[in-house]
Amino acid sequence: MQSEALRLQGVSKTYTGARGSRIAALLPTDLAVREGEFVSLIGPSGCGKSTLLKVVAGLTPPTQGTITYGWDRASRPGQDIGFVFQDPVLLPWKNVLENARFPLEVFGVGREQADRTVLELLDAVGLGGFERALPRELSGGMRQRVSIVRALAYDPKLLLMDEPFGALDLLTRDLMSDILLGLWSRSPKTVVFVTHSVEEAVYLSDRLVVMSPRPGQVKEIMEVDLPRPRDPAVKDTDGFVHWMRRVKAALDAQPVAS
Amino acid sequence: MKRWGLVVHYVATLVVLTAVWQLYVSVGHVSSFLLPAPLPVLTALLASLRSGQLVSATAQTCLEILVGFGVGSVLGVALGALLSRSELLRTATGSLLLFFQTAPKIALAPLFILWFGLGLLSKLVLVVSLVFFPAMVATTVGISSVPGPFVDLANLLGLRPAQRFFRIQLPLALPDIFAGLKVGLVQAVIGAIVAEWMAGNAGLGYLMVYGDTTFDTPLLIAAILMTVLVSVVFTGLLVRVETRLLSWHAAYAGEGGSS
Ligand SMILES: Nc1ncnc2c1ncn2[C@@H]1O[C@H](COP(=O)(O)OP(=O)(O)OP(=O)(O)O)[C@@H](O)[C@H]1O
Ligand SMILES: [Mg+2]
Repeated sequence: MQSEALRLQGVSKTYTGARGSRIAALLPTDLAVREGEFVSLIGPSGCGKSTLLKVVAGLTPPTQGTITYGWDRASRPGQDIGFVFQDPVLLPWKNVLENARFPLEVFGVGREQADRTVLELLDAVGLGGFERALPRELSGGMRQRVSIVRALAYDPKLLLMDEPFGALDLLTRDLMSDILLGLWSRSPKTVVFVTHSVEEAVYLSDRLVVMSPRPGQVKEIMEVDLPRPRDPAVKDTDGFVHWMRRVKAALDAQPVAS
Repeated sequence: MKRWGLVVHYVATLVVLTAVWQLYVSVGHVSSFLLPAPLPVLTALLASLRSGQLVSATAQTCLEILVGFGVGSVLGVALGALLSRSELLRTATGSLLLFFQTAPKIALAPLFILWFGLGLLSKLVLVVSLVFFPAMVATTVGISSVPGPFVDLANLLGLRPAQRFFRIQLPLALPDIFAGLKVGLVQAVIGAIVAEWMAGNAGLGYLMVYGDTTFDTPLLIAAILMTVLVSVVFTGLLVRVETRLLSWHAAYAGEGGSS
């Protein structure tokens, strides 16, 4: 049995709106993630997926509940969680290399070692030779790859990804999925991945968490037993089609009365 | 090539303006006391340059603008950064700052002269007070408009306050800050000239008063022309610094990037 990387117990989030109104974004949620596991969250817009990731990353406190991490969070503050946002959030005055090594610089890692780590990762995502380019000189997919490298550069215990490919066209999305799978098989990491795309979720995940419309709640959790390593050919198999159908059915089903 | 085109353009404008000026004076029989012809003004300009009078007055005014603008903008940006860090500080100082911000600083000039004397200090205080507020307001606006995801990134990586300011907030706020600094610079020139008008015996403002009271209209106009030149040069320098620092910014792309 693998050890646990993350456990949410009764975690909920209620935002206080502009005029003191209260917005329930996430109802009490239980979720456990195993170490090295790739978990996807899928659900309609506004169901609290981003909120869940932000709470896990400590960017906003939960209203209720507790989050337990599989490691001592205090030992490396800021360095234990990688976050890939929906937009790349690159610093526009820094080039690709400087952006990707920004966290390492902040954490005081030596320049030489930082460059070695980052250049290797940039190579792995097909950005070798673009080290000196500014973000505005890159395509959307390339920018998002820089952002993934930046999140992986400090070797976090947990990688959170919030619709990282949401703004990209379909062909680029597929390419990015394969790049991500490649990175993941190089060094299996615990990943929590938010997406709107059923295909992407089935293709990438070990486990798939389907959420109900707002206020968000976990509706169903599925263990995707497709064999690994996966490559695009798996998308034509009956198993894959079966999972696609199951996830779509779960998404369409009426929310459980509570 | 583009640069030479610009120079030709400027020179042509100058020539046309001077011609119109000469024409107006000679055709309209304007008294040389009210508006001297271009030539006497040029002679006065050259004479006061040679005597060192204009040079030292210009140096004095430039010093006031440079130091006052520098101190004012650094203080303004620093306080703006502090204010955007602390809600408590904002509410504590809010009404006081609003009072000083809305008070017309020029009206305070006599008070500054009373407090800080007839010399350089009172002029610097006026210029600093004029530059400070636009710089401060622009900085708070710039920092508060840093997009949420950048704030998340800073929080995620646990940046310390100084890292957060210098590595994320300040660069992202620079376009706003420069907008404030440009307003501040115009104010700085006005402040320096007005302060010299009111008191003291140095600077271009003083030279204007001197030319006026001694009925030396060519000298007065020479001093005015010099003030315009100073203002244009400082603004040009500020814009150069801006394009250099913001070459990464989409709105400035193409300029300064290749230099
Ligand atoms: N900072 C905030 N203040 C107030 N309400 C918020 C805030 N952030 C999110 N919400 C609300 O919480 C709910 C869940 O938002 P969240 O961003 O987590 O949804 P999501 O599942 O990520 O949606 P999407 O798929 O569109 O990204 C929404 O109704 C949203 O309006
Ligand atoms: Mg979201």
